[in-house]
Amino acid sequence: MLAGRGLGKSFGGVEALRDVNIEVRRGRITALIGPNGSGKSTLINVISGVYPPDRGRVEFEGRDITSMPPHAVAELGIIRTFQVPRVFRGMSVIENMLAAAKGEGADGVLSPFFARSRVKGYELSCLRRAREILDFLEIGHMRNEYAGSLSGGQQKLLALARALMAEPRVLLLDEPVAGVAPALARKIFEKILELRNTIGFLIVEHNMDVLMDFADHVYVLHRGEVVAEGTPKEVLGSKQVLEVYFGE
Amino acid sequence: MSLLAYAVDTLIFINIYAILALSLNLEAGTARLMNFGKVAFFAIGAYASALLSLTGLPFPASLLGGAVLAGVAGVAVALPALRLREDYLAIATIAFGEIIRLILLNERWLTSGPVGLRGIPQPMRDAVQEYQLFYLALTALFLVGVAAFLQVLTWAPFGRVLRAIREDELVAQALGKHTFSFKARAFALASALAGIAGALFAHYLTFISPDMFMPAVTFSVWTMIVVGGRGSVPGAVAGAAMVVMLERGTRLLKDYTALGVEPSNLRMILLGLMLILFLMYRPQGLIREKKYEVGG
Ligand SMILES: Nc1ncnc2c1ncn2[C@@H]1O[C@H](COP(=O)(O)OP(=O)(O)OP(=O)(O)O)[C@@H](O)[C@H]1O
Ligand SMILES: [Mg+2]
Repeated sequence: MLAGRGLGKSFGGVEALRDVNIEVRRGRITALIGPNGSGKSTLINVISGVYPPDRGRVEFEGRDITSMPPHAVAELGIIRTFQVPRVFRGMSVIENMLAAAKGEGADGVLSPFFARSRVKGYELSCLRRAREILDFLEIGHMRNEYAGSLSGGQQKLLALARALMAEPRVLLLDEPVAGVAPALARKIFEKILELRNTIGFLIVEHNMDVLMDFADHVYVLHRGEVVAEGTPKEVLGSKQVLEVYFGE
Repeated sequence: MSLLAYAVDTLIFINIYAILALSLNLEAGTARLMNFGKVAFFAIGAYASALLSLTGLPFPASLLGGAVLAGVAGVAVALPALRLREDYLAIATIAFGEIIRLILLNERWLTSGPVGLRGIPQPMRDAVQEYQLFYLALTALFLVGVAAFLQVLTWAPFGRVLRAIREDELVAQALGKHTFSFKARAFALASALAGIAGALFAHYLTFISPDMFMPAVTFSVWTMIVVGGRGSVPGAVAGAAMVVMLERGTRLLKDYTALGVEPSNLRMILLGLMLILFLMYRPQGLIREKKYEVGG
């Protein structure tokens, strides 16, 4: 459903991505691994429209979405999180969630005055959904705290919760459970497993056990290039990956 | 002026400046749109409404004209400037403020230049006995209306997106918000509200001139929202009251004491001092922005 074809991106002299081909499909969990600086976050940035690629295309359901602005990409249902969690610090946790909901015509200047009951209904249904997601991710009790006062792990969870709130069709998650307790991390991946038939997933994740148990397809990036891909079993034991991680 | 008249006069100015502060608060407090040329939109509202009523248009139509013209000016500034980086809006608005003041000074055929506009008609002037009290009620009515409108809007989905933009615009975009559209609408709306404040100002004084629209006005209004509490609707009103009273106080001081300092300079010094003290010791302002909360 979502594909990058021949993607290239350089920053000054650094070639962060070189001829990257990648495909995200519904029904399977696609993982992205690679050492520090190999281009994982850059790939997410290019797909989500944060940086336009120098070369190549991004396609979503047969449509060319290369270099679309981030909000337009997100409106198509392609929602990404950031490696360093970026919560709306000066807003409460619950308001972070509501801010992520689609506007559905309730977010106009005049809507609270001329479509009062619709806005009310919208807010109630958003609230219900927000609380469900927060409770599932075990931060429901923090709902009235300022997001900036959450711990790093909790901020990661809120960023994930907010992404779910946006009704994604594809989720691009940059290390979604870094700093999250292992038990909860597994619970989250179990949920992802449940959701994979309705939502496409591209997940940057380093934990090998998690990858083995949950990923269906793994891409290995190294210095901006895909050096291996396949099932976790195929990839994680391969010579290229050992080289990438343990030196040439 | 009697003491009562002076008090009523002060209250009228508080009402007018509170509307101006509320409008800046929507831009800068809720959405972090750094408008450093606020006075321009106040001036456009004042001059447009004054000129329209001098051609014989009734007050409500003139005021509406002032608001619409200020709003259109807001769109004209916003469309190019809001696409650029955040700091460009600050620069563009500073420049716009000066451009408007120069136009007021130099386009004499329209604005009468430095001598300004005189004899601006007042609404219901001949029908009301206690005119000052009437105008106090009129401005209070506008203030209550604008404050109520903004309080609802700020805590509706539209205002929530503005806060999200303030906190992290890229993240708001990554969640599907067309942030440019939200910023442009907020800026246009705030400009129109500043235009209303300008119109109320012009019809109260019946005389306006370019030297009433110096950059110092923008500075005062910024002080109002910082002191009041950025993002807070009641805060903007409280901040306006505090700053207007401080400014009035320094003027009174001049009448009753022999000061070594020029009162307008003293006013700027005190405003600056107040700004610094608040930023250091009470950055959330007099009335902190409400936190959105839900029950158990
Ligand atoms: N905005 C930028 N400006 C300049 N260089 C950048 C930028 N973003 C990334 N890079 C460079 O591109 C390369 C790839 O970085 P990227 O962040 O994509 O790696 P990563 O695989 O996500 O690494 P990590 O595991 O540390 O998160 C690095 O050399 C990095 O320094
Ligand atoms: Mg990264």
